[in-house]
Amino acid sequence: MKSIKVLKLDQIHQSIKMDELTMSIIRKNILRILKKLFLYTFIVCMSYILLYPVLFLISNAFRAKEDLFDPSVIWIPKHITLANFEYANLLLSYPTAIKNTLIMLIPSVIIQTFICMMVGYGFARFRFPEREILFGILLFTIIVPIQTIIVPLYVKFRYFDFLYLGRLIGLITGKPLTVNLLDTPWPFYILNLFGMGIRSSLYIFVFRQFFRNMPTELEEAAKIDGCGPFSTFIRIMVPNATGAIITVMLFTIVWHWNDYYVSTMFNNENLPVSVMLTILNTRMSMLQAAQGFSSDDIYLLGSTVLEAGCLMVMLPLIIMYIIGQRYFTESIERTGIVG
Amino acid sequence: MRSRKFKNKVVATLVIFSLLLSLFLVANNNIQKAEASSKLGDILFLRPDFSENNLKGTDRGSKVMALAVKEYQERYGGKVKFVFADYNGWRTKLLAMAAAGTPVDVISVWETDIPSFYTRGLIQPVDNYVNLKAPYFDQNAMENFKYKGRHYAVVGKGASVPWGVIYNKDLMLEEGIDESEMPYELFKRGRWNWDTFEKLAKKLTADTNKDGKVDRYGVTFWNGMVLAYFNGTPFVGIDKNGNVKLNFDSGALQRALNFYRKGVKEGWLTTDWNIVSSGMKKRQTAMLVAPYYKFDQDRRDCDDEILFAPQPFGPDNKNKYYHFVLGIAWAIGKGCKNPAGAGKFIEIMHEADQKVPQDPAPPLPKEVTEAVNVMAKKPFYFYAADSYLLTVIPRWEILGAIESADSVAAGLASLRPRAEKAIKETFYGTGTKPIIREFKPFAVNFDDGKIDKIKAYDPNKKTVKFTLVSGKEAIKGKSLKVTWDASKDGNEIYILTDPSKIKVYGWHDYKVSFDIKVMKNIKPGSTKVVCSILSEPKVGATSYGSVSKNIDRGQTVYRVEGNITNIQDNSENMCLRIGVQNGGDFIIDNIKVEELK
Repeated sequence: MKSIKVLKLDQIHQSIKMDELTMSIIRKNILRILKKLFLYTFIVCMSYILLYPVLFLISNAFRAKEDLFDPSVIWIPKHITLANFEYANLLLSYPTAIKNTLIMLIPSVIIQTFICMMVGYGFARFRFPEREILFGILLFTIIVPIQTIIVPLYVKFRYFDFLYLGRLIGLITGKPLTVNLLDTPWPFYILNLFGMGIRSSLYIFVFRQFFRNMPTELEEAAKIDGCGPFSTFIRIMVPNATGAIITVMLFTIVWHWNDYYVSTMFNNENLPVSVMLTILNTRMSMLQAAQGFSSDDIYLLGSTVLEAGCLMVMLPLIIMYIIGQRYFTESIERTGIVG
Repeated sequence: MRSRKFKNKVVATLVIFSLLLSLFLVANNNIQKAEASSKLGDILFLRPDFSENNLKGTDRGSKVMALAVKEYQERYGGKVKFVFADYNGWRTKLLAMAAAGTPVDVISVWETDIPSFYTRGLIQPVDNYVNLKAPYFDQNAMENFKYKGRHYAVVGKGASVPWGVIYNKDLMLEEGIDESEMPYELFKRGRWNWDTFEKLAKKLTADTNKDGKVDRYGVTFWNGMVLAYFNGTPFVGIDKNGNVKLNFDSGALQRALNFYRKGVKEGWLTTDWNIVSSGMKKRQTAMLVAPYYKFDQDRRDCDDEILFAPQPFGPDNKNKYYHFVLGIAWAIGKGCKNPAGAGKFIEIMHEADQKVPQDPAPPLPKEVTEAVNVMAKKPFYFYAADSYLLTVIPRWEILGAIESADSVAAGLASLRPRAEKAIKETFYGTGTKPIIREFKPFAVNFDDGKIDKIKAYDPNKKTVKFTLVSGKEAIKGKSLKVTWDASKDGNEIYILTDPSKIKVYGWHDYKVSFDIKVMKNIKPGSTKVVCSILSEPKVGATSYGSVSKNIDRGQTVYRVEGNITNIQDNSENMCLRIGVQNGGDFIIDNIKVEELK
């Protein structure tokens, strides 16, 4: 009788243990599902917030005039058209504007990346008495908005005198020889050459952090092999800095591409695509002559053409990002940059 | 050894690079070609968001500009060069170009810019370059942009827009309001004031669906602040010399804001933007106080008959000024290379505006045309100074403070510190705020036998004596003779005008003249008569300007004339200082100071 009772208790204990195990597995599964659910909900919400403007642009850019006041058309147009892109192409003078942008952008990106890399390496690896002060000044330039120095810069480039050579010539000719660099891409190149380009200080900071994390043994080995500082930088450090270079290059391209403030200040002609986009609306009346539209048509088309123009301006950057996405995310991991 | 070689290479590369770059730049040089001129010459033109490409546009504005550019080139042989800037950065570009010594010739301006451009010295008077009497210019409007008697902006006829009361005639008739009691008729009979306005608004305020809430307002304001303007006072005042002051203590302003507060509290007045934008069409408001272009839009959108009446004057608007906003005006950049060309181009633009046909529009009712014409006789641009306040304190915040505070005075008091700071910074930057006082020209010839307007500059020079001389010794009639003991007080003596008797102020440009005869100790080449303006009558005071003349012969009357300009000083004790350097006793007469034209 007694033994039977004991057996029952054991069974009960075992069954309880089993139940606990099952419950714990179920609990874990539920938790995992909930976690995933939360994660996906979060990602979907965030994607919606981030993608909403792009989806809105796409929806409107392909929308024909007939769909503009059709209340049944919300996201997907009933009449899909490419005409808006055609008009935007005309108003933006797209090929010329892209050409102007590239003339300004390509040398700027190359110069800025190389110069920032060199300066960043200097700050990371060379010890000199003024290093911390100079670096402090460099950080200070990050917070100084371009608007505060744009007037002196304008004057500088209006009467540009490289290394005061113009004044030297002036001693002979009696009149200083200065050059008007406005309406040329040279202000961008020169600013980048001297580490004063668009957000140069930020890139120097990025490179400094990157080079600081690289093992010093590489340079020591190079030194033993007879490399000087510059040679070490070019032969050893640069090939190892691909990640940081790609990151900085991408940022440089995006910021130069989107810049319109500096471009507006330094240019009256040869306007880049970002500036052309800002004045697209004021040029809408050109469509009247080119397409024979009435004033009402122009008014109606205003937003769709602008959105098509925005997509056209964004498109090269999107393509570039799609191609370079892998390198970009990898390099962000390596350099420790977020955002 | 190797590192030295490398260094040499780097240095050599840098030098070669810099030389090549310089050569490239020189070869590429486009040095000051922009200023090349022929006949009247090229001009620089700046209008935000307007570039040469806009000339291809087919809207009326683009056609006018294209025609003007073509005509300028044909008539005067010069080109119009467009300076590109967007609305965000155009003022900075204007400043940058002025700083670079290439100020823009023709600048588009708005009432919000003109006073500050004037006080900051960015624009110059247009009187000498534009025929302001031309029929296509709005003389009344231009009077608003006149400082120290000179015009600083050119306004074309129709370039500014009045504010008024847009009202729904059909709705009023339905509500049993007789036509004679409607805004325009009241205006015609001289009964259009705040009392009749309030009465009408109250009568038309209604809860049409009987849910206990007002769903039709008597009057809606695009901007409640305009009630102050209807009462003849802005929040920030500018006088004829360009001085700016906060009007928060003004009784007229407080009465206007009390009227606004009363309307809001009693529920017959609203500033709800949804009602402003579509309330006339939806019959949510019977009257709408807004700029004229809103009337133009509403009359096309609404099924009811919509009319436009002038602003009802408040009790303090004694001068009967109407509130206007400037569509666009034109100014000439100070120090620009081609002001004459700029003036001609401004004229040509307005001539072109007459030539290009107007866009078709539905005909205007007679009473609306009459109302606009009446208002155009006395325009006033109240936003001119207020906009600077509004850039720092938005209008809803101002009106919110007025509505929520215990009283209008308390509401204004809560805004005052920020408002004062805003005005100081936006108008005068962080520099000296100019206090511009009225200057009266003066002449001192001592013929009345008094020398009390003149005193010695340095009280430590005790031997300096003033005597009145006449006859042959005098320059003309009676003159002042200044003598001193050179062995004690040296060979440099100055006299001053007494600031308590003769007033000279900063921020004016002066033409100074006087006759002087040095009696002794002449050293040809080094004896000199000098004149300047001092911030106060004491040794070491700040000196402004310098008019001087070398004296080679004694006992000879010299006429000294010159200009003293750029006196950035607010002192009330300024005086004229005249003296002799490296010379002896002198006789002086006919001291004259007048405003430089």
